This record gives sequence, structure tokens and C-alpha cells, in this order.
Amino acid sequence: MKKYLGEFEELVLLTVSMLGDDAYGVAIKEALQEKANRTITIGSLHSTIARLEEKGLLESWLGEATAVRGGRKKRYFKLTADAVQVLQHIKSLRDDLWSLSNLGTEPI
Amino acid sequence: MKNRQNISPPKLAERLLSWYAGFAQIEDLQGDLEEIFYHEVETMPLFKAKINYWKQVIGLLFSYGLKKRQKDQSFHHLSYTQNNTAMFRNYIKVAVRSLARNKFFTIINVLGLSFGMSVTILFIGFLISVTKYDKFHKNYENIYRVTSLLDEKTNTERMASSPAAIGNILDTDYTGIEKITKINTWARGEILYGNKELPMSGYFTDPNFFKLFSFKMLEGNVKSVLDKPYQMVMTAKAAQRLFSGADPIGKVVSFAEFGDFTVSGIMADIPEGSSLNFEILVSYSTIQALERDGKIANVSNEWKQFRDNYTYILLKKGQQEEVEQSLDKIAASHYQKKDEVHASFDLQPLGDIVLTWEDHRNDLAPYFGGITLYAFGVITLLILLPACFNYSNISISRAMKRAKEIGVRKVVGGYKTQIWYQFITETVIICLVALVGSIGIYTIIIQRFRAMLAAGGSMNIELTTFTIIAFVIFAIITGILTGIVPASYFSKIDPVTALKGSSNLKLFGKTSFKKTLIITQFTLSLFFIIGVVVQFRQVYYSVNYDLGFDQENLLDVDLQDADQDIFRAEFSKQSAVKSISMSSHIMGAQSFEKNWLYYHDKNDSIEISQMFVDQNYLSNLGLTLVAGTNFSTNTTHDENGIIINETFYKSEGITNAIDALDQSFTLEDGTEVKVIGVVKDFNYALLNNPISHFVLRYNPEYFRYANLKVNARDKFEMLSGMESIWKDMGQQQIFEAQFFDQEIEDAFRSYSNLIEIYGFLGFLSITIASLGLLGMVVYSTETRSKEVGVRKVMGASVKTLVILLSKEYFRMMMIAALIAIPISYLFFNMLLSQIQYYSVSVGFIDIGLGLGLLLFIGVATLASQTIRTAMANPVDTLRSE
Repeated sequence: MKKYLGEFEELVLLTVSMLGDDAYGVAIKEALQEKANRTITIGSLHSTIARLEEKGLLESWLGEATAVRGGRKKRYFKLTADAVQVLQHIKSLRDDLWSLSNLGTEPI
Repeated sequence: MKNRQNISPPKLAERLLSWYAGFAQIEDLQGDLEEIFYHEVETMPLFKAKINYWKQVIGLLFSYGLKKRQKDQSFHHLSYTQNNTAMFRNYIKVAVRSLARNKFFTIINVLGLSFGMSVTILFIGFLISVTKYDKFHKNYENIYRVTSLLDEKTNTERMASSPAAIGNILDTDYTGIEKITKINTWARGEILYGNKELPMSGYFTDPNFFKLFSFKMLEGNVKSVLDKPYQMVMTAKAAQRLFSGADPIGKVVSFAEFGDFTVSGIMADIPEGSSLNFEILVSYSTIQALERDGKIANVSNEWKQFRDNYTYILLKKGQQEEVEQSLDKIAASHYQKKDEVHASFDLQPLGDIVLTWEDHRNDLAPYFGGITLYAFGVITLLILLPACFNYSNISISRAMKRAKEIGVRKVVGGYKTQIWYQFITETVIICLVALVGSIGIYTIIIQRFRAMLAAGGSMNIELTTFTIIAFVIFAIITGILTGIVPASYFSKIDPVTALKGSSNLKLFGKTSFKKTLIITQFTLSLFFIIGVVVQFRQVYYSVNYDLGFDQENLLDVDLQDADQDIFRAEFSKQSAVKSISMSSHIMGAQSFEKNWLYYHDKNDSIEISQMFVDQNYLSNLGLTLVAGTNFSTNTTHDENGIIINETFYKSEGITNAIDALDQSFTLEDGTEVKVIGVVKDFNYALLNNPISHFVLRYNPEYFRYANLKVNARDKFEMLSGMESIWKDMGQQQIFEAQFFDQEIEDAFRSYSNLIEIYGFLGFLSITIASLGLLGMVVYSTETRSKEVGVRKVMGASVKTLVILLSKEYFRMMMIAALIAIPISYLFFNMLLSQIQYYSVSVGFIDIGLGLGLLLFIGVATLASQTIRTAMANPVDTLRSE
């Protein structure tokens, strides 16, 4: 399986998975801001999401209409099985490299 | 919470986003933005939130996320394919099918493009041939020639030649040079071996010649063949002509006035694509020997003899700048005196000699650059573009037939780019098929074309793989460029309108594009046709021009090596011969030797054309003396006498012909001459140049022709009588005689080249225009056949219907005429006076004939289609469908 992820792509995937059923644009943006201290625009977020969708790592569907957003629907995202596999693969690779390196076993 | 009623995101930004997104699905994005906005409004000032909203929108406009959604919206995601080769094969299949289905239009397009592209590939082939010049020399990258820039008071002159002394001094005193070879072009004249005499030309040059250039030696040692005086190297072809197969090495031949030479080597024939062309090479040391004997003027170490001497240098790598500086130093130290010639020198790479912007005087290499090349390029485009436009035009006219196909393609998920590629592929295929035709035309015309070029004989026109590849690339590019207009038009077709019914499909650019095109084509055609007619008239005019002397009943006999006195004595016995004169040239038909006359007192000179004649010449040609006397038979007196023309004394500021008499001058070779007579002006050379300084001299040594004034009823009988006298005189050669008026006519034969070129271009241009017209007319009559049927049923006559169908095209031809006539009038008037000083101007005949021909062809094309449609039985046309 040859699917490579950029650093930001990885962050987005993990955030989506963290948010679970509530993963939609603004929520992802704010989570990233809070956890990773990154300020991003909706545009750049959706660029990354579009690429992840093309790679087959994200799925999306439109939710119900909401009153808060001028009646507009939210688009929710969810990881695909592929995405889970890719993320696990990356993690195991990293753990492996960490353990072989002399940086200590616990990430700082 | 602030009052939400009054707060909302910036309206303009919202609208911008939804306008930009088009049909793309962005509801969720807008929702996200609004949510962020209202969220921010609570934590920061309103204006800041608004600015942030703008930032977000602008970020989105440039984001890939939005672009992707737009793409997804226009096409079903399943239509996207990565398999390009399969798609490409499909394009080709569809293209071939569609071309095969519409045979008529395919043939029109292929024919038109074949004609159109033929001139361009001729141009490409020509350019490739020209750039191949001299590349066969192994050292060609490091070979340069020294050119001189002669600075005279009135003008500067760039010459290909340079004084011989330059080569000597560079060789001994300066560095950076590997080898130098000097060339002098005086080695021309008759070569006599046994009783065979042949005119040959070549160079005096030194042994280094073979070290610089990669000419192959067949027999003889390269190091020694040009070592000693009076050695001669011949090309295999020349040796074969002179010795007819016998071994030439060591044979002694007599060469013009230079003396006897030993053939020391035979070299392979000069390959095509060489800028140096010669039959013989003579050792340079011969020049020094000849100088010592006083047989030729001093030249081998002169600083002021700029003409006819050439210096070629093989440079050490990267030393060009240093040698150029040396040349500047040399020029500064040798041409510093006031009132004398000023000159400077430059290096010209061997590879640039044939194709440069600047034409060099006194060049020994052919020259193909400059304005002619650009004119050729422009003409190429003028022929090619109409053919391309024809294609676009016909394709778009037929859009309705293809609209359904495109509609279906789009509905099942065809991308815009795919439709685009399909049409480009179709055009490229047509162009490649047309290329086959073009190459056919190319192989027919290339020989003729080369023969027309002044120095084309040395050109290498072989059709190599490289040339073919260049042609194919050209065809593909033409295909792509031609296909862009129809392809972009077709790819934009809206499937809904296309499938609903083609009637309301709006044609691209309406009809103005089509009209402009047809008008342009006819303008060009008319332009070329007028060119042909005008050139014809020019030749007729030139041949019948009153040159100012008698041409009738004059027979010019080539004396060859016959003795003049015997000839005169024998031929004057003939009853048909009234009088005989002798001359060195044939008046009015040849260009003359130039010479310089120097004033005694002033440091000034006059450039003159000269000709040697005897005392009978003036009366034989009906030239009248204005002042002074003719040559007498007193030879010593006459060799120093000159007869000048009226222009001569007038331009020297003398008002009365009598005053010009007894003026004396010094010739370049030191001879003192005195004006003994003044003759009325006449056109001594071709009509290319205005009458200028002309001098008649007397010297029997230079006589080459006998001019016989004859009076014979039966010319054939007279000529055969003369031939037998010629034989009786013991002459080996064939009796060569030609009537003077015929000879002058021959001299204008070079014009036939021009007529041929205009004729060919006119033919191409009018064929392409007619094909285009045919395509349009066929289409428009086809689509209007129902209308014609209805009109016929209602009682319209065939005549009114034909007029109805052709009216529009006829009007376009008229507009074309209105544009073409003034342009060709101005252009050809300028051109004619450029190529010939005494020339015709464009008149009613030319324009009338041109217009007549154009209308005839145009109307014939129109009639062929419209009459058929108009005559068709309305029952047939109305019943269909």
C-alpha cells in the first residue's frame, strides 16, 4: 500500500478521527487551532480535505439543516478503512524508528 | 450577545464566493464561514470579524478544495480516467471515422492544406539546406574569414574580401591563430590542353587551404600540391572534362595569360553545401612569380587591394577576441593617413557566411540572408494561413452536423478537454495526410526552385530524415494551431441546446469571421494574379524598349579564337554582310566590367563601365557622336583614346560636350587616357540600372564578338553560308552566331523566373481560395435547399435563386477587389522600379485582367453549386425528412 501522507494531512486525519461524529469544517479547524496551535483558513483546510478524499482516505456526507448557520447544512467527515491502515502504518514505523534511535523511548 | 439582527457577514464577499463557485456544491462551506463569523463577532470588533471573513473567502477562492468541487459538479466522477493512451486511441478512431464519413470536406481540406503547406515546407527545407552550408569542414566551428569595412567619405561598404597583406602580417606577427590561408580569385580563364580549350575558374591559394578546409584529395600529396609556383589542382569533374579519362597528374596545361602549369593533384568534387566553389586551385606562389615578371598587378602583399582577395583563418579555441583586437591594431596602423582609404576588419564565422543579415560586397560565397529571406517567410505565411483558416471555417460551418455527437459525448460524461483533444487530433490527422501531398509538391518544385536561386547550384537539397522529421513536426504544429479555433468552439457547446435541436445553435462569431476570411483569401489571390500580369507586361516592355541603338539585322558572332583580320576579310566578301565591327561585350545584354578613372590633379576617381569596340561599331549600332571623333585605324593613338557618353560629362559638371574633349584620366593599371569623343546616351546595360558613366575604348586584344550588319532575305541560307566560311577558315569550334534582338530577349529571360514564382503563388492562392469558397457554398446551399424548394414552389425562377444564393459571396469578392487593387497598385509599382530602373507601372490592363480572372474562377465555383441547387426539383428537397 503506497499512500504517503504529508504532516498536515496526518494531523487532519487524526483530528477527524478524534472528533468522531462531530467532524465537520469549523470543528476540525478549531480542534487544530486548540491542539496544534495552528491558525488555518477554511480554504486551506478544504484543499487538504479534497486531496485526502481523492486519495480515498476520507469520506463525507451532508448532515441535517441547522438553525445556527443560517439554515445551512454541515458536511461531516469520516476516516475510511484505508486511512486507519495508513495511520497505523505510520505510527508503527515511527515507533520502530524511535525505539532504534538514541532519543529515549518516551517521546517528549 | 450583540444584536444579531443587524450583524451579518459582508454581502459582497458572500456574493463573490457564490458567483465564483457557480454550480459547485458549497452550502457547507458557506455554513462553516458563517459559523466562524458569528463566533468571532462575540470575541472581537465587528470590522475585524468582517476582515477575517474576507480572508476566509479569498483563501477559498484559491483553494484546491473549491476547484475540485467545481470539477466534480461539471462531470460525473466516473468519466474521469487516467488511461490516456486508450482515450488517445479513441480520438484517432473517432477522427478517422468522421473524416471518412465526410469524404467531400476531407478532400477539400486535405487539398487545401497540401497546397498551403507545400510552400512552408519548401521554406523549411530551404532553411535547413542553408544552415547545412560548410558544416562538412571538420574545423568549421573555428574557421573565420576576415571581412573589411571600407569607409569612404560618402558611404561605408562591407566587403567579404580583405587585402592580402593582412594574412601575411597576422601569420607572422600575431598570436591566437592556428592556420591562415589566402585566396585570390583571379584564377579564371581558358585552359588549353592539346587542342582542347575550356573556360575554368578557381582560386590562387596556398598549401594551408587543405589544412583549414576538409576537401578530399584523390591524387597528389596535400602538403606539396600547391607548394611551388605553376602548380595546379583540379577537381575530378574538371579533370575529366579536360583530359577525358587520361591520367592528369604531371600534365602541362596552358592557363589564360598566366602561362604553363603542371597538374599536381586531383581532388574530389566539391560536395553540395560548400560556400567555396571552384574547378581549379593554383599555387599562391605563382602570384609572386607573375608579379616579378610584371604579368599582373602587385597584389600578394598589398594593403589597398581590397577586392578579390580573401583571408580565412583557423583560430585557436577561444581566441576570437584576441585576434579581433589584433585586427583593430593592424587597421589603425595601416590606414591612418588622411585623405586615404579608411578600413577596419572583422572576423566572420564560417557558419554565418551564407546566412547573415548583411550582404557583403565582392563575396565569393552564395548569400541567402537579409530581406529576401524575410519576404520568403511572409509569403509562406500568406499562403499557409488561408489554408488553415479554410479548415477552421469549414469545420465550424458544419458544427450543426457535429453538435449532436458532441452533445451525446458530454451527456455520457465527456470532459470539455476531451472534446477539445478529439478535434485537435482530427485536425492533426488531416494535416499529416496533407503533408504527404505537400511533400509530393515539394519534390516537384524543389529542383526548379534551386535552379532559380542565383547561387542555388551549390545547395544541398537532399531529403534527409532530419528534414522529414522537421516537416512532420511542422504538420503537427499546424494541425494544433489550426484546430484550436474549431476545437474550442466545439468543446464549449452546451449539450442541452445541442440535443434539443440544432436549429437554435448559435454559430461562433456569427458570420463576420467567415466573411473576413473569404475576403482575405480573395484579396491575396487578386494580389498575386496582378503580380503575374504586371511581370508579363514588364518583360514585354523591356524587350521592346528603345535602347537607343539599332538591334535589327545585327548578327553577333562569337569569335572564339578566330583571327580577327582573317575573319573580317573573309566575312566582308559575303554579299549579305554590309559591315563588320568588333566588340568585347554584347551591348544591352550583359553587365560590363567596372573600371576606375582617376583624375590627374585630384585624389578622386570615377567608377565607369567600359567596353572595347572598333571604329565601325558606332555606325553599325547607329550610335551618334555628339562631339569629337570616332576611333580611327591608327592603333597606338586609339588605345589611349576614350569615347564617353553624355551622362559622363554631365555628371562631372561639364555643360557642353565639346568641353569634355581632351580631358585626360589615369586608369587603375596606370594607362593614361584622353577623351576623344562624346556619344549620345543609350542603354548599354540591362534596364536594371540607370544610364551612368560609360566609356568606349579601343583595344583589339579584348574583342570577343564580331557584329555583322546583315541584309538577307533568307536568314537560314545566309547562316549556313557563314558557317562554311567559318569552316574554311580552319576553325575547330562550332560557329556561334545569334541575332542581336534575340540575344537581348534572352537577357530578359531571368524575368521568367519571377513570372514563374508569381504564377505558382497565384495558382496556389487562388486554388486555396476556391476550395474554401467551394466548401462554404456547398454547405450553405445544402442547408438552404429547403428554403430554395419553398421559394421555387412559390414561383421563383432559377435565375433569381442563383442570384439569391451567390449574392453574398459575390459581394465579398467585390470587397476583396476594393482592398487588393490599391495595395497591389502601390506594392508592385514600388517593386517594379526597385528591380528595374526603367519599368512599367501598374495599369488598367493589369487590374482588369486580374479582376476578370478572379471573378471568372469565383463565379465558376459559385455557379457549379448554386445552379444545381436552384435547378433541383422542389419535390425532392421538400419531401426529405
